[in-house]
Amino acid sequence: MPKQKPASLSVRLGTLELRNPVILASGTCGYGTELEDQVDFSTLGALVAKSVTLTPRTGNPMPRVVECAAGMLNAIGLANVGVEAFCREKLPALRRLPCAVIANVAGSTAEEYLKVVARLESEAGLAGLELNVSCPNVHAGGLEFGRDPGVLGELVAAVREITRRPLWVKLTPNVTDIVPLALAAEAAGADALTVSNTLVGMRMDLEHRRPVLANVTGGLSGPAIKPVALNLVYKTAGAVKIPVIGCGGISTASDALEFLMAGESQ
Amino acid sequence: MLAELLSIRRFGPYAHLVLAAPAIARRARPGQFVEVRLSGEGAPFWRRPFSICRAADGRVELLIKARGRGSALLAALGPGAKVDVLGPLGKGFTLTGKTPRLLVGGGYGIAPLLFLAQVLKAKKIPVEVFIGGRCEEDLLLRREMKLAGAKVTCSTEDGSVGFQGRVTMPLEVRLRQTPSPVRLAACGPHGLLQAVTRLAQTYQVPAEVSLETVLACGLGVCNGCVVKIKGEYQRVCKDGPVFSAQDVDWHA
Repeated sequence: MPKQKPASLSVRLGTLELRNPVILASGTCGYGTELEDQVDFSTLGALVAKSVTLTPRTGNPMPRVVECAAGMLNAIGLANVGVEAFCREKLPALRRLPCAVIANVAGSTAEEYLKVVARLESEAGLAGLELNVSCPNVHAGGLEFGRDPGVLGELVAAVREITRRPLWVKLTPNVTDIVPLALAAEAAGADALTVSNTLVGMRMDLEHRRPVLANVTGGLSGPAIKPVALNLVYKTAGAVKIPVIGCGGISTASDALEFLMAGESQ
Repeated sequence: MLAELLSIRRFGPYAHLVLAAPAIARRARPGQFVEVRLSGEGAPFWRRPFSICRAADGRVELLIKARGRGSALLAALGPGAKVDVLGPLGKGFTLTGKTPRLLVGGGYGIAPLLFLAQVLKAKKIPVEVFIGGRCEEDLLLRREMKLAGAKVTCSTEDGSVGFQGRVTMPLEVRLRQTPSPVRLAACGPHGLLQAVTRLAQTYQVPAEVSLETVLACGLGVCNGCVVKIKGEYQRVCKDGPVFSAQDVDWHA
């Protein structure tokens, strides 16, 4: 029997070509190096580094995480080293990873987003940028940009003006209708949409009669949110022409296939 | 990796497991831990962390207490079961120097200290162990510690074995009566670690403590398990679980 050539799994997201569609989402893989013992990065299409902000953030008080049925809540609060240290200390190791690396940018004002993107422009070795406009765990910014199509469009357009890198926008599921936001990001020049971030939730501590998380609420992730994310991918993919990146509760190959099918089926 | 459960021995709420895990056994250092994924009815979402109690000859041993869904599922497994284990993880105890060690363990917190005692004894470092618990049932690994060559002192809160009271009582007697240079290493409940830290300050001896906290990823990625160390957040799973006692901000 003739030897079969392995099927090509490569995908194209605008100008960016990835060897396969498997991407580690922002926040699940730190700055990459933390997982070097556990993950063979050459098997991945890309990884999205954890959110980086203009200045370092220590994050929220503890407790920051709590387990739920089929998932977890987190309220880390965008703990990160800040863009300067990210470029100096984290990027060198990220660049050496044998997969595409996407930086994820967060801010509490449009100016902060722009300053971070501008700083990253002077660095080589980033395959693209993802805008986090959907963090539910910080009081100012984040989610506020992700809930209003007008505000979101302005932010994406402003970032689009200062970078030619592939630009992804990570949308929030915490809205009545995701479609106007997806359309706004597309119209403003986004190359792809990541759908979606975590769902806002909380848990109570029965013994102490108070919320478990110091931040009161957190973002729900894990298998629990997969059906919600699937539906949002289905809706978004039906409304926009740019690629949609499925995200939420994916832990097996069949989970990933469900997302690919949901995106194709409209 | 999937590790075969070679044997399991239960006593009260505790269980001692022996796993065939050569890759972990080879690299393990005292104070490090493994993360175990449980499966089956009611299995928790997160892996559960357990200190490595002993690691040699391709085997990794755990001493656990069934106190929640995860540990209860693990304690209920039978020989031959395949266990999904990740490790060794975290940063262990300091092994350098020849200073005699006083190890302090409360309840199943004694688990990593057996591994530590064995490694220290192999380096010809004198080891004394203080084992404490509420009652006799909680005094674990006494025989194994003696076999490892450690001098063992026990205490129980109900007075059924050894000193009556907390384990820090005989420890303080030892520190006061023999003021020679020693290093402390402790693992157990939060209150015990704080009390050991106070004694270390009073008697001016260095101490390391192994902190226990809820872990989500266990790999240093999520930043969900941070503690204040010298005023800055550090990750228990990656920067610890062993920290220098005087650096821990106990009230943060």
